[in-house]
Amino acid sequence: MKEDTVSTQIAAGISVSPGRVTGPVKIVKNSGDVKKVSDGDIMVVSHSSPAFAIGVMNAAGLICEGGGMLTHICIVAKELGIPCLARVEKATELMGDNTTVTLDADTGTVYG
Amino acid sequence: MDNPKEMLENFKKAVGEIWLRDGQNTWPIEINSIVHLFMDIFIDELTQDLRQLKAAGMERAKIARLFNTSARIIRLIMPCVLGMKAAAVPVDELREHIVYLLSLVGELKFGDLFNRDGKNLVFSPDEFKHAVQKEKMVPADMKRSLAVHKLCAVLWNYAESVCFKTHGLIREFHGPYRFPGETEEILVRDFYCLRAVELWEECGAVAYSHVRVIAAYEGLDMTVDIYNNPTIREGAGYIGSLKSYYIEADGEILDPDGVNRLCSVLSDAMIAITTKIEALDWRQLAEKYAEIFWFSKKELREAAGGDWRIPESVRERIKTGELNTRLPNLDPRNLQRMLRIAF
Repeated sequence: MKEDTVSTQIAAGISVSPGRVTGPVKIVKNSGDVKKVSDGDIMVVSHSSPAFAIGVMNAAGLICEGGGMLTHICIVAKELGIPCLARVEKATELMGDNTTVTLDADTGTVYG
Repeated sequence: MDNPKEMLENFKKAVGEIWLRDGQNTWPIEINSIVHLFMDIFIDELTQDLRQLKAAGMERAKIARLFNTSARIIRLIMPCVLGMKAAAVPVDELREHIVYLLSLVGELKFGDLFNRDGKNLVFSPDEFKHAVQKEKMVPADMKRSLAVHKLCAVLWNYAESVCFKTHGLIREFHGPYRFPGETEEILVRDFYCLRAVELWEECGAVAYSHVRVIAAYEGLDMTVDIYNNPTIREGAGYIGSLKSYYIEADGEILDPDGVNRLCSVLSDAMIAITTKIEALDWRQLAEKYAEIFWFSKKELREAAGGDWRIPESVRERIKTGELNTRLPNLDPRNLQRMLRIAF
């Protein structure tokens, strides 16, 4: 996976699971949307739903508008060892489907 | 066991610490916005059932076992507090009830009631020796570890899709335990009621009622809080730390193909259930939430000779009631304050 293809900070949040990854954004708003998440994608959600866990299993990273250390979808990301940020305000508005972002969960920052 | 006053304070402290770390979990509906529609009726029925069983001479340990797990009882306590507040139950009676529920939790756990040592020890050393068999443990490579943790993730989220925030009904995580003389920490993840067809017909597709994942980790420095949330040392990861494991489904060992098949069936059922949920309005969600609460005391109600399903009065109240928009907006600081003054 390419690194540092993008470098402008566009959002920030709380690190739930560390790591750094660059990839295309997939916005997930309902259970049907999880199917569009494939290997290497960065999944971006406005809220948590149990079915979203299936998308997280394919994703390379997870960005949540809300959530926290004990939000289930974040726990899944942590269990699977993929970078995850919670409480990234307006993430689904700031990032569009298929745009490339770098999720740096070590510093709690998203670059785009 | 602590005295009643200490028990209440320790419970508040343990729950308060979790609330500080927790994000708002509003899926599929903010529970605080609907509990006023049924929780007072639920707690009244629960109290009556407990009184009846006690009056009939049933031992406390036997009553506790009707809840199946300590996790189920512990997760019921705060909703019960809200219900009793709504029903204007006097504070002394409320406290007495919580202390009794905590004493039931104590009947189902070997370790500290409030996990102050960072452990949720359900098994005594002797029970652990019988329930977790070292000779069944198989070494985990990265591929197997990933498959095991994917199953755990699917099971956890399946539990949430089936019973929303009251997933203590389905899951109980306990440990960390150790084999005598060894350093690996063993976490037991139990998932019950996987075929809860009383709640969702889609659960019928799952072949097993109970799945137990026994996982031995090295170097995680793990703690488990009173709500069964495991927390690991910063920088550590479950997948790379798994050394050995085995998975039982209704008592039979699952092989890697069985794990993948179960993962797939659970994923399909979860998507079917959540798709159905996404189409429900708030009244239908409130009724489903009520059904889940009543289901959580099914065995208790049946032992007391009653019908476990929600009474018609609850359906009627949900049909004509309104959402409570005041409580859901409480921030963590106000939630702590509410907890301090609640009982």
